[in-house]
Amino acid sequence: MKVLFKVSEVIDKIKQGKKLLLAGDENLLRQLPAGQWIAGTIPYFMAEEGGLETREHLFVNELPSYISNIKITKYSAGTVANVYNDAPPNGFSIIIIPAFSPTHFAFALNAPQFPNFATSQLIGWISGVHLDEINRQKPKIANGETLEILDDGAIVMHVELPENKYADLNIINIFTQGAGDTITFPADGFKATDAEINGEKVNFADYLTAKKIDTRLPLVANYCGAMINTSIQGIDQQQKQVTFYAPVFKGIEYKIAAPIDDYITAFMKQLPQEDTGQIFFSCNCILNYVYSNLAGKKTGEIMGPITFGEIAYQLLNQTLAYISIKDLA
Amino acid sequence: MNPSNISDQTLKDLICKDLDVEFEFLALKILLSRLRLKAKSDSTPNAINNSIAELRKLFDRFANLPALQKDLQKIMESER
Repeated sequence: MKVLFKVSEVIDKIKQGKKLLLAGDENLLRQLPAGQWIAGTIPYFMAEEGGLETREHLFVNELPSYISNIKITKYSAGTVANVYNDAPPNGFSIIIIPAFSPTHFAFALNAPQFPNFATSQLIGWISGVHLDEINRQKPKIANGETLEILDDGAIVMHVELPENKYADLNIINIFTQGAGDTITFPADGFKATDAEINGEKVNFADYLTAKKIDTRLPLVANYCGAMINTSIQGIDQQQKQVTFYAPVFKGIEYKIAAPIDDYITAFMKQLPQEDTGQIFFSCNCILNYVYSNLAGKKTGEIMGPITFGEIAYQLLNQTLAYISIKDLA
Repeated sequence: MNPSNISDQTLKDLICKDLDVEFEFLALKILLSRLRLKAKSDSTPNAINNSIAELRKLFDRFANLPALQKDLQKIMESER
């Protein structure tokens, strides 16, 4: 299935009234006309050919023609709390938030406290930039209806499904909890100085250093059987502080992930048994792309943007999030 | 499976007793995990009732989804 398109091809789709979810380079997004689309910036993708980077093509998810009702809504850090409330009764919502923005941090830290958290199907991603340009370019989102391109806020397409269809949101996480220490944190946050290791207070930076922990392995929490990752961004030895790509939460018990020999093999084992052709949208993490050298490799038939964070109800790291549209029996 | 057939006491046990039930529906796993965490810091009847109401809201919203139907069956079986 073709997923990468030239700008001219995407313009044609927009002019035909197609409802589109787009990902790609900001310069390409700026060439598009107004229409029923939302987008985020990123130059990395899992495509037909496998993992690749391109600034010449846009990644396109086209909503099926039987979907007639969509609503595009822009949120700020202050209003994103309404995202679950605004979802249609039968359907799903796709959210895109620029990395490192106030809305990114607000959503990541507070989503579990938002009204009706997890009672509507919310999937999405954190937009990014080329890794060589992290300190020079800002990740962006785009509202196709207004042609606004923003470096803060969230753009959401609320999608209503016909009565005979339902959305099935799930994740593929190849990481499991390792057999090591149990780690808890005294506060929610993207940074941690202190942690409790098996109940004993320590400096977390010192712990990771002394134990020679491979920081490419995420912290993994067991959410009633769902393995939820928090990736380590770095260790600041001077500040004695550890930074994360998603927040750690007070009271949650984490373990360092068990090592993985080969991402592709582990990933393929976790592919859903169902027909992957039903998968409508998916996104995978830039850290999986980089750490597991996914450039040029295929992850089955699952394709989508490579992202700076994945959203399946809440922010995740080093995970593939996907949503399928299925027929109700 | 009608979610209203599940008693409040069963949902309270699900939240407060860390019953080891293997669920399929991702939203239920994530919400229940959050509610269990909340119950550890505030186990007053009011807080637990609010959490039960949150679970019921999820059940009502997704009651026709196959994965949740299976999970509701497991919850019913945990009652016995």
